[in-house]
Amino acid sequence: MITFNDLGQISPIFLTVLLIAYLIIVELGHAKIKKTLLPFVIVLIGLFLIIAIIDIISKF
Amino acid sequence: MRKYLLVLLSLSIFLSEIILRINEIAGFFIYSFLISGCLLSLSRAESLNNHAKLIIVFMILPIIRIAELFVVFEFFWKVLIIYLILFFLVSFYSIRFKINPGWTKKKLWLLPLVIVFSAILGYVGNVFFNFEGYPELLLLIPLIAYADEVLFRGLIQNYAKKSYGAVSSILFTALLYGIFSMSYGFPAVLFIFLMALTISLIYNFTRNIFLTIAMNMVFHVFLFLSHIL
Repeated sequence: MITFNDLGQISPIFLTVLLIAYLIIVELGHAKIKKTLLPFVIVLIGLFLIIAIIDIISKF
Repeated sequence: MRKYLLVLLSLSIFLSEIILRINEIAGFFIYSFLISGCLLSLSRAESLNNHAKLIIVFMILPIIRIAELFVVFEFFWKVLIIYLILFFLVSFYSIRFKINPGWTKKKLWLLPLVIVFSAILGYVGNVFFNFEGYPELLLLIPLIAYADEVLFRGLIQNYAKKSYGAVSSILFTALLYGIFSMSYGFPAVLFIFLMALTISLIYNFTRNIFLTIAMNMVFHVFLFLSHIL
């Protein structure tokens, strides 16, 4: 198993920055490779949505 | 540069894991740099060759670690979410790259042998390294074993073998798996590395992913739960 049981403390702001940086860098390079990298963007966006929804639910 | 890629990737993951253990924010940044480095190296690739595919499947590892940093649920739910992400990524890439990780009946007669071997090794690991038991993880072990094996053996080992040969691919895959188990402490890392090395060797000679999934499942059951069973 490759997961830690004591990780999970970082602010979602970092994820936003990473997502933007990632989207910019993904735009470089060969078209076929760009298409292949799409699942990573989906994972990061999905993660961002989960965090955002949990944050909204816990605040209101 | 390309010649030393496997060494470079192993070292960068090793360094990132150590820094992550010391400080989460620093670990996050170093993993982000690693992803950026991979993306920049891919941006120079002219086609989706085996080398580019190896870097893409390798990138799953830092993505998983980064995802883990943001998931603040209980351990069971966290493992479930992380492994569902891993399941999605490995399934996508094995279909996208049209690679058969080894779904074959070939050499399936080795199954009882590898099960007994993994059970003994898992039990020994449990006795010597006192792994914490999480009985609820029993439900997730099929998912964990499937995702781990398709990623490390089916994708990383296969693409490393195509570019760098069998010996380098076996060592690289086992090293990555060992380094990624650093949360259990250094002596345990060595033990898990030896187990991963055995699994990689068996996969290299049989090309049968059923055998390695069975080994991974039995090993994890005995490693985490043999004192409960």
